[in-house]
Amino acid sequence: MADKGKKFTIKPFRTYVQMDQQGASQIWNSLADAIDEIHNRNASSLSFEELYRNAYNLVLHKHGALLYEGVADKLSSHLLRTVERLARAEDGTLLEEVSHAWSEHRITMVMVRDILMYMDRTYVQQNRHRRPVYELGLHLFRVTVWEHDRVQPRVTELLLRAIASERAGLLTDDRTLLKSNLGMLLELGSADGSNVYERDFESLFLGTTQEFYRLESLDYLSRNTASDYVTKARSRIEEERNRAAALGLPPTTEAPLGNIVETELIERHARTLVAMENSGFAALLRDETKLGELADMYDLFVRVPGSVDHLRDALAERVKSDGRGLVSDQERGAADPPAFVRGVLRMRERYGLVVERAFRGEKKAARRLKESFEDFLNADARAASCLAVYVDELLRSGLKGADEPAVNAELNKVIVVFRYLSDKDVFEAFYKQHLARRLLGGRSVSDEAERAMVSQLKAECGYQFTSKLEGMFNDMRISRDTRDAYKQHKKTLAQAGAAGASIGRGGDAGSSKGNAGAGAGATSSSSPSAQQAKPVDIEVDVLTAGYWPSQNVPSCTLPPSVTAAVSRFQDFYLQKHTGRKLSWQTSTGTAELRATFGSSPDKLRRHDLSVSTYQMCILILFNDSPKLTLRQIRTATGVPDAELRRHLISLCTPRHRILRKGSKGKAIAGDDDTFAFNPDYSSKYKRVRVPLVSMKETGGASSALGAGAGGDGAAGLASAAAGGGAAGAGGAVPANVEEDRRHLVEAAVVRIMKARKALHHNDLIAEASRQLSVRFVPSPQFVKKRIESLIEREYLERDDGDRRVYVYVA
Amino acid sequence: MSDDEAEDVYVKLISAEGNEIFLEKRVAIAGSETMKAMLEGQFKESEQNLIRFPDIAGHILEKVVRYMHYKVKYSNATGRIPEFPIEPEIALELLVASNYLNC
Repeated sequence: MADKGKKFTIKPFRTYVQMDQQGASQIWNSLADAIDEIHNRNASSLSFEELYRNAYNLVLHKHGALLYEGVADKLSSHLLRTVERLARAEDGTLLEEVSHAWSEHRITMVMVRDILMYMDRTYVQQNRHRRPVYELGLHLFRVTVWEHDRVQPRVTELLLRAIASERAGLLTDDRTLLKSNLGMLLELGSADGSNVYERDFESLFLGTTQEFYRLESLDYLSRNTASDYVTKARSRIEEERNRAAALGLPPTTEAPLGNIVETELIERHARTLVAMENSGFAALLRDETKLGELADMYDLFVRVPGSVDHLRDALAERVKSDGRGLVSDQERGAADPPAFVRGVLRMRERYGLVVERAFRGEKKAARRLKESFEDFLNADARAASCLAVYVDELLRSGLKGADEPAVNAELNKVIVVFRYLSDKDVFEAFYKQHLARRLLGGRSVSDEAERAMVSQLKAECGYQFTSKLEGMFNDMRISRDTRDAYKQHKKTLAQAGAAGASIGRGGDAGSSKGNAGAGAGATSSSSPSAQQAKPVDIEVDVLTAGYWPSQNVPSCTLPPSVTAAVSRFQDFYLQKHTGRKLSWQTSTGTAELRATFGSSPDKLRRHDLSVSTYQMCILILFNDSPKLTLRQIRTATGVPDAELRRHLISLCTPRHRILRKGSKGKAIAGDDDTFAFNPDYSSKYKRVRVPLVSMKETGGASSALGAGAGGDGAAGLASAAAGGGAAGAGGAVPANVEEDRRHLVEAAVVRIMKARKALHHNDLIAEASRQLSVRFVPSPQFVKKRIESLIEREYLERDDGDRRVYVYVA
Repeated sequence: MSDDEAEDVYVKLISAEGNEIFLEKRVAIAGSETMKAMLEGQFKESEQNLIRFPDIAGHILEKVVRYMHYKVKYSNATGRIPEFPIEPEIALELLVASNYLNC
């Protein structure tokens, strides 16, 4: 191009056209006409460039203000004409007309803005109080058209009415119309910072919505069931959401709208819905088939998080009341412990399902369920003992023939209930007792099941809990081996000719518990002097003292033949394990006696009597004298009095009148009451088992576990000794467990204090409770008492400065 | 330049002296705000695909068109962009024109 070497000139500008006022007005007029044309949709006849140039020149020559104001006037007059037309329009067509006018205006404004782009860029920027052209147009529209009396109120009214009729179910013609009107309001509001949308629509809309739903929900609820209401509510919520989307409502409206609907429909009536007769949530819980409806209700409530609490409360109430019902049934005696536990298990399954399906597995609901179960189960210590009885039943007979998965499933259920217990140590105590009885009596249905149970307990509570139980299993195994070894040993002694039958007897602490031996020790009553020194066979179970439930009964005086066998075994055993001490548990164990009845020698009846150890001792006495008093029997056998009475009575019952009692009536009259061997006794069985009567009938002090336990003779465990405490009549914690707890608490406290040296009272209680909670839950007063006892014994002392702080005393 | 086969692909720009420059529509729209408004509005220009610039000289207009091509070509480019040469003599007029055309 023009390139004149290094020297350059700047070409003169085009001739500078001076623009005076008149020139400016002229240009303006042509622009004004153009705007008219645009307004009339005749833009295609205009040249953009020309108009743009005109505007450009006006602004360039400092006539920007003239241009701006001129444009403003022009627009206003157009709009005035528009609004007059709208004001005259009928209600039916008003919305449409407004919508049309608005879209027309917008198109006009776009074009006007385009040609005035230069002014926007320069003049408006320099004069900040002037709006940009497009916004100016919208502002004028609002002020002139919208704010007109005959426009705004009517339009608002029409909009709200349309929505209301939609809600009432009448079809609206056209949502797009509504949408465009609302869009207009939104744009107008944002253009000039007025809040027409909020003021003229949103607030009223939210108001009417609230009213509508308040009334509708009340009305509907009073006439329909809760489930129907739930469905209706759901559809309404859906509907509102659709409408908001279709109408193009901004998020700032959608959110409050959603809130209002949910509040009116759900929150306000949450309580009613739960409590409603026959169809409320609480009522539905009672019916097992209504899970679907419960789930629907939950889904509805979950929108307003606070209201789900009502549902959870209802669930908790239901569970607790059902549970308490079960408990009181059991109390009244209408149901026995296994039935109680089965009831609890059933409840657990059922409500577990409710939580799973109706509450969609929500964690909070699951927790409430757990708490409710814990609440009624731990009202007293009864649940622990019932559970133990139930497990006993399972392991005795309930799991017969079940395969491993079934066994595990059953035990799993038990563990679930076990977890709810807070008095786990009570359960352990009872379980141990039952287990001992099962093992010694050979009553478990299967070894695997026993072990499975113990391993589940171990998984639940840790090794410590189950170490004793495992010890018991071990003992049984070792005893078997010992017995085999003894048999071997006896064979080698057989040369000495002492082989024969012995009577099995119970040993104890640290040792043996005899089981029924084979063989018969002959005790014949018809030949008084026949004290055959026939040797007696015994089978012994050796138990380790610490593991098994303790019995502190002194051993009774055994007949000489038996004593011989006992000492033989003792020698054998002590040879193998020197340094051990055997003490024989005569309160347990069974014996088999061969007894001969009949008065005349040719009509002798022989029976094999299966009796307990004490009974055996008693009966053998009658070999020497046919008649004895109570006192004599007591001194001869050394059996404690209460037990003695019990065993004697069981030998005098109408069914098994092996002895004849002197006094009349059931009870024993006194020390001088006599007992005589009854040769007329007969039974249709060759082998007779003589059951023990229950303690209650002898007027004994503690209650026993019932006559059923007496059957196998190992019932000796239910002795009157203080240690043995079986389940008390109420659900009180048994004495030995109480004792253990005291020790545990003290041990825990000392341990904690030793580590911390000094600790505040509250902290100490909290820490101790925490550590002990695996086994049981101590009450703060309980711990306090133990602390005070420790202070007395100078393990701890109170801090001088602060009385609430304890200090460890080394 | 080339001829407009497709109807709306090219626009014709006419300068003050009557020089005619053909320009691809998309370049015009991308290159200058003003031209964009002109061609997208409902005015005469967009119908005829013709824009007159009675105030802009031919050589200036040509330079502007070159610039628009340059701008569109390097709009999204990474790396080094070559310099657009502007002769100092026409700088002032070019400035006015670009102000007018907003490009």
